[in-house]
Amino acid sequence: MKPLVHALVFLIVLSTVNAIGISPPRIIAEGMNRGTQIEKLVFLSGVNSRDEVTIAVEGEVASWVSVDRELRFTVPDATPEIPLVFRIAVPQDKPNGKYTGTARLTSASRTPLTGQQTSVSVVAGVTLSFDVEVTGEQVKAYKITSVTLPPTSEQAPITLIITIDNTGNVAVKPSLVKLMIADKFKQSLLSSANLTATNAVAGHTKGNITLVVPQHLKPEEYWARVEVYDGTTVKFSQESVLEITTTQPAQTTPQQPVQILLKQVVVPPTVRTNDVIKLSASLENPARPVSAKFLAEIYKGERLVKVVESPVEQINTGHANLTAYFTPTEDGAYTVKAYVLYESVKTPLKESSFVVGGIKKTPPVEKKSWWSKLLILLVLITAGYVAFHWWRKTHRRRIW
Amino acid sequence: MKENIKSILMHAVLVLAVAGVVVVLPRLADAANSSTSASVTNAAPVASSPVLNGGSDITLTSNTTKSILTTITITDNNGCEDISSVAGKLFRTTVTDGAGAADNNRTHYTSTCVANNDCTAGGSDLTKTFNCTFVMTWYADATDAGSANASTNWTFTATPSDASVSGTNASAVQEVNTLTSMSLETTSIAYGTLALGGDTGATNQNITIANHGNENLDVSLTGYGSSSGDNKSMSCTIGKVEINKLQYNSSSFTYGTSGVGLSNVTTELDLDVAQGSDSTVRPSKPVYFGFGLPSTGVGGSCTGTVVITAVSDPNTD
Repeated sequence: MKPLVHALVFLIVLSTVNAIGISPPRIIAEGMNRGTQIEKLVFLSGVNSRDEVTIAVEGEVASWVSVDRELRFTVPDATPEIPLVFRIAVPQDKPNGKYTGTARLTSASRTPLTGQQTSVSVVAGVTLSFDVEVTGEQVKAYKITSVTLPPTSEQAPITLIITIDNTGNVAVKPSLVKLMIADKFKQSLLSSANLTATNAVAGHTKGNITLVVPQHLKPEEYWARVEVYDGTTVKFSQESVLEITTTQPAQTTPQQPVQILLKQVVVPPTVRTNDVIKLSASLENPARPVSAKFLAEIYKGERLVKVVESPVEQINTGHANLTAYFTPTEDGAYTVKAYVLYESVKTPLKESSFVVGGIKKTPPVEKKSWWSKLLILLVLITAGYVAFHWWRKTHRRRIW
Repeated sequence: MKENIKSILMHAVLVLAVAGVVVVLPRLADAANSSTSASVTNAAPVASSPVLNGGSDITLTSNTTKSILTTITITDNNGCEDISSVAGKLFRTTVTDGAGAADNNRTHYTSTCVANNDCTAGGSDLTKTFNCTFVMTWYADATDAGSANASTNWTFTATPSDASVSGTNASAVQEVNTLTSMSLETTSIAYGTLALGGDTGATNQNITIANHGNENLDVSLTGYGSSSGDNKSMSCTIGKVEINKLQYNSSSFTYGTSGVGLSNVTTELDLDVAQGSDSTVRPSKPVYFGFGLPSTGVGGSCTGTVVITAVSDPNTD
């Protein structure tokens, strides 16, 4: 009789679903020159809180790929999306050709199976594929994703911001930009200008071309037509409202590159457990309005405890604040690493810290104020006096 | 007596004089004025400067909805207070009937846009901005490179109206990125007791793969006994089990016949789990497993790991 083996009794005894998702699942980098790099933002979602995520890169481009996070990390509580920035840096010595690779991201429960002598874990994963074309040629390919004219005040110049998504490997800029301004009823052309850009957007990046035009219009609403040329071809045209105001709008130097600046993250330095902590991000937007959200990774020591985030909000030109909240449940020293996400861009991290100490004290019993005590005393005295006199009256002997 | 009569008469004259002034004077004024009237032609509102998702491609979230923000500027030459409403549509650009198609979580969404508080009544301010929010489901069609709809994109269009007419719309386009996502929905599975040299025969255990993304899915499988790449399926109290002793397939099988042996190398299984179309149903398919033990060399309790990876299958091939 052959011995029996208690083998493979269970496949995944878990009380929660094991799930994982990635978007987008492909990074396609065409026309990459040797020595250049490209960055792409992808989002991991659907993973369970406290699961362990592992990132493993394989294939021809494995040594070219890096990610802005540890290759093994624990998912914090209540984190619907985890942003990951993958960078592909093409070595200087690679021949022309197409190269591929994959990053396998897996999610596994950290809770060990208990009570089972034999078991098999089932790990869920997703794949991020890399398709990289290395070339020695110059590739010019771009699209204009938006043209913005923020409001400006009388006597201040008009700022025209052209956002370009450069998918080629050479820096690009429009050959000519025409700006025509009509009255708000489009009945008369008031001014026109032919503009030439001085800066360009680098290859494999998304950036802005900023043009400044002097103007002497009165405070009013106007119609502005913008035509962006590539050679002699109109690559983009748009009509939009241009507002000239009487007061100086909140706007920084128009020559600065347009990007959201996370200036600081403010947190209370000391708090108690179970306090709701407000994390405030102070932002500066030097140009056109964008939709953005603020995220903060909260660490206790080396352990990532939670990622909290603000709602997505429209950030107009100038200063803005975004807010997220966190409730610590343990004492200790915490570090906050915060950033802002907007238009597939992740700002550099800003760090802050706070200390959680002591159980939240119950508030002292409120003492009654002295005047309320005095009032009660007076009422009692008055009531006593009235009662005494009533008793005397009712118990006085009749003399007739 | 005469004094009384005189007094009465004086009062009467005074009253009559006052009444006369009250009645006659307006008639004299009317004689100097003439009434005029005119009506203003209604101007239809015009939309401009549409912005979809802040100018970025749309990335959806696994197995849940996501709010997509859009903005639009409306101009009405009768004054911004004449703008009454804006209807927003977000749809896959090539869907039949375009903006006029019926709502469908895979291809078409409608939103009632909300006005911002930036209209100054009085007639000189002609513009008002609106925000439109679309709640997209996780299985809305992808249109990015490599997806089944890579030749198209998604369009946001906003059509303004005043009390009389609908005006001129404006549109913006973006891509919706592919979301590759799955869940492994399992229960506890017991193979029972296996003898050395025995196997599960025609009895399979299965793991159900549910699609939580916006494209069709295949899966790939690999595994290990105690560490990745060890070429084992199980590590036991005594000995180890070779990796190919664990078999699987997309349909039920008898061990040793049509099952595919697990491998160190991640191997794709053509499962074709469909993209969702109903928020209450997650399309799913099972993967069937069987197992066999060697005739010698193992004993006691055994543990191992199977790694199941979702693979993008946009063209269901």
